[in-house]
Amino acid sequence: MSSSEPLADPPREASTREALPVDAKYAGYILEVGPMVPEMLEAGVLVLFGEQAPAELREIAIVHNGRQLAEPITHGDMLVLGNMSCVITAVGGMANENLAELGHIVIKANCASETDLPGEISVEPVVLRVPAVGAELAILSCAVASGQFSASSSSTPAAHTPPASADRLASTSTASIKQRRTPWGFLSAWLNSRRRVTRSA
Amino acid sequence: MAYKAVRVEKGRGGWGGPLTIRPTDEKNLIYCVTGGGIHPIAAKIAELTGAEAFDGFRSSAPEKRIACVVIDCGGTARIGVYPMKRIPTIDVKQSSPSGPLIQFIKEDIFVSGVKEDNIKVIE
Repeated sequence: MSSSEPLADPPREASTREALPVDAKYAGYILEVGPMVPEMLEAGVLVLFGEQAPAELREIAIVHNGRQLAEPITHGDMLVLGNMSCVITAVGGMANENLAELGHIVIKANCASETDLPGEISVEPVVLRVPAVGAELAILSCAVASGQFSASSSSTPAAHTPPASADRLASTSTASIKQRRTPWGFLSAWLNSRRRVTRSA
Repeated sequence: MAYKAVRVEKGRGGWGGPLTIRPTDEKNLIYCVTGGGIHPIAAKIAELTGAEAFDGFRSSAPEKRIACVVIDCGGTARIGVYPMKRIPTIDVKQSSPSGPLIQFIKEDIFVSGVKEDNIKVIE
């Protein structure tokens, strides 16, 4: 479990629209929604790719401008995509590599404890929705998602120390994941704090 | 330019194929859509055929110029998109047909588990 390590440096390129929120493992904004995304949704998945993806893949994908994976995602983390938020219940063997290198994630809302395919992440069954262009994408660490890290401190980089319970959280079962669902109030506080940070940047 | 053709067979644990990749003056790109730049399998096919290895995540090329595509897919997106477009697809992972586009993934257009040993020049 690496969530106690300091978060990585902000994105290297100055042209990045906004700095990585210090409390997110991955963050960006939705740039495009491909014409075949509704078909993929009908089949139960949302496919995300970074902005370097070639045209063929953009047809089936939600394209975003996230760039840097601060630390590997793990089950128990929270995924925020527009007005949809869900708990990640399993992470496929290729998912972190895909996300780090290509901005690529496949989201399946099947609440599985193991993914069907190595490129997938499973999330707690929510009704998957297609996000709007301009919506936010974020993956929050389980320590943050469990509400133990105050959203108001997000302007002080690496100032927090995730609780010792992070290891315990990372190995919990699906049942206990449900018990520590993030309160909506916390989530909206986090999103609001992000917007403030973005505006002042 | 005269290009050579290669036969690409499935590797151990792989599925599909064999595919014959025969670049032409129009279709002369070995289109690599993997993490980490040009994959060694794409480089090998380019070397053997005389076609050009091309990184799909760095620049764009029209589909009609693609002789074949090399992917390292986790089973959902790339594995289906290129077969759907009837572009010969070579997966370096040991994937079997899966994902929402599974109906397009057929032996005549897709091969997986491919290692360098599975690529042979057709004389």
